[in-house]
Amino acid sequence: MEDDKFYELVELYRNPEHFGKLDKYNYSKESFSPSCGDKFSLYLETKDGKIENASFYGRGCVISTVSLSKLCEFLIGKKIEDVKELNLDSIKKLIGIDEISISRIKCATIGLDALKGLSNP
Amino acid sequence: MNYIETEKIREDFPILNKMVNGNPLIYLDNAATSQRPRQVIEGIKYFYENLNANPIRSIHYLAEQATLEYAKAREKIANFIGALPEEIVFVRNATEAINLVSFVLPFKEGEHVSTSYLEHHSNLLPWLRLREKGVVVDIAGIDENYDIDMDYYKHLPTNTKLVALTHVSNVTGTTNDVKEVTRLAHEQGALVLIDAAQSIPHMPFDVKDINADFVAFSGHKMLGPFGIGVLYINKNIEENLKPFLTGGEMIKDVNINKIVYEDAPNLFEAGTQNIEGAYGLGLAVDYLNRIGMQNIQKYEEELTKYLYEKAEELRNVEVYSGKSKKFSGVFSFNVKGFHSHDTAYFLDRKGIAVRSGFHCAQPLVEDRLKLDGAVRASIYFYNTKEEIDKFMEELNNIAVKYGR
Repeated sequence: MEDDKFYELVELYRNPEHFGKLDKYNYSKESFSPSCGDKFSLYLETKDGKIENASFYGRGCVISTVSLSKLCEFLIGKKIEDVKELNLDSIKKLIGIDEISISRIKCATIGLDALKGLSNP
Repeated sequence: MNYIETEKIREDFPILNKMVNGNPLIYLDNAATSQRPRQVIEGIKYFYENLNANPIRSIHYLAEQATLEYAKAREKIANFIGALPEEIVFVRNATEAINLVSFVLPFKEGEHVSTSYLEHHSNLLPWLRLREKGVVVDIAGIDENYDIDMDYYKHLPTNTKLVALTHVSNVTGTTNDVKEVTRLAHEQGALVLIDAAQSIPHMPFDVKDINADFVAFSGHKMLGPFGIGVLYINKNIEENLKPFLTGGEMIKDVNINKIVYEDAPNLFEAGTQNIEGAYGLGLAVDYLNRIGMQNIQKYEEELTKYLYEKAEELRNVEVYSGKSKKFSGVFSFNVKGFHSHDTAYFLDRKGIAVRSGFHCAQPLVEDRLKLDGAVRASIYFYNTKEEIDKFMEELNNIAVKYGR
C-alpha cells in the first residue's frame, strides 16, 4: 500500500462514518481480532429481509475501522441474501486497496465475521 | 561495551543480514522469539546427518548416540540454571510446561492458586481453568508503576497450594523479586512456579538460589529451536505428582491390571520426544555460555538505558514500560491517537520488526493499562546502539506525521 493511500485511510479512521450504536437494531454481534486487540460490535436494523440501517462500535486499527465503516455503508439498503457472498476481495474493493498482507486479513474481515450469524428471513 | 563483540556476534546470525522492504532488518521482536546462530542451525543439520535415531528404546549404535546426546542436552540445560539433570523435563514450550503443572498437581476443591495481573496468558489460563474443579484463583495486583503487590505475598489466602508468577513481564518489562516471593510463599506452605520465559534468555539464573519448585521456559526465546521448552521440577516434590500424558517410555512395568510409572523426568516425557529440539537447545546454551550470561545481562542493561534515554526525545509517543523498580529490555509504547498495529506496519516498512497488540496479556493491557494494544520493541544481545538510533528516528517520523 502506498503511503498516500494509507494516509487517506487514516483520515477515514479518525472520524469514521456509521460509528456508534444504532438506537434501533434487531441484530448485533461482537467480533474480535485477538492478537491485535481489535474488538467491535456490528449493529443492523433489518426488515423484510432487507438491511435498513447499519453501524459499528468499538476499538481497533485503521484497517479494521475503515473496513467496518465501508462495510456498513455498503450494507445499508441491501437484501440479506445478497450480503452472504461478501468476502475478503469485497472488503479490499470497498476500502480501495489491491492487496493486504496475511497479518492484516483478520483486521479486514472482522466485519464479515460479525455478519456470520445473520440469517435469511 | 566491548565485553560483547556485537560485530563478531552478528556474523553468527545469518538472518540479521537480511533486507526487509528495502532496508536492513532491525529485529526488535526478541520477546516473541529470538533469532538463531548458525551454530544451532548447522548443529541440527549435523544431528540428522550423523546422530539420528529414536533414543532410549533401541540399542544399536545410532540409537545410543541419540540417547547420549539427548542426555547430554538435558545435562547442559540443568547446568545452565543450576539444576540436576533429573529435574529437567523437556516439553514443547513454557505454555506446555505450565499446563503440565496444572494437570499433575493434585488440586482439591476449595484450594487456592495464585497468579498475577502481569502474566502472559500462558501463566493465567491454565489456572483459570482450574475453577472448573472448584479451585479458587487469586490474582495479585500491580501498582501504577506495574510493580507487583508484595504485601499480597506476605499474607497469602490460607489454603494457597501454589503461587504462579512471571519473573519478567513481556509487556511492562517488570522484573519481579521471585526469590523473595518464593521465600514468602514457602513460609506459608505454598509451592511456587516461576514463568522464566522472559528472564532465562537474558540473565544468569540460579534455580537453587531462587528455590522455586517449578520453573518454565521456552527454547526459542534463547537461540534454540521452536518446539522445545523446559519444565524444571524440584526433585523434592516430584514424588507427589501424577503423570500428564501417558504412553511410551514413561513406564517401568505395564500390565493390563497394574501399571508402574517411571520417575521424573521420564514420567512426563511420554512418546518419542523432540530430540532435535533438545540437541539444538543444548547448542544454544553452549553459545550463551560462551558469550556469558553476565555479559549479556550487562550489555542489555546498557542498551536498555540508552533506548530509554533516546525515547525521552520522542514526540507524540506514550511509553508504558520501564517504570518498575527493575525492568528488562522491553519498550512498550503507542503513537498517541494511533493504533499499535498501524505503527508496527509503518516500522515494518522501514525493516524494523516489532510486535503490536495485546502480547497475549489481555487482562494486563486492557484492564490495567486501559489500552486496546501497544507496540513493543524488545532487544537481545545482538542488537546495537545504531539499530536503536534508526528505530528511534523512524518512530519519531511516524509519530510526527500521524500522532497527535
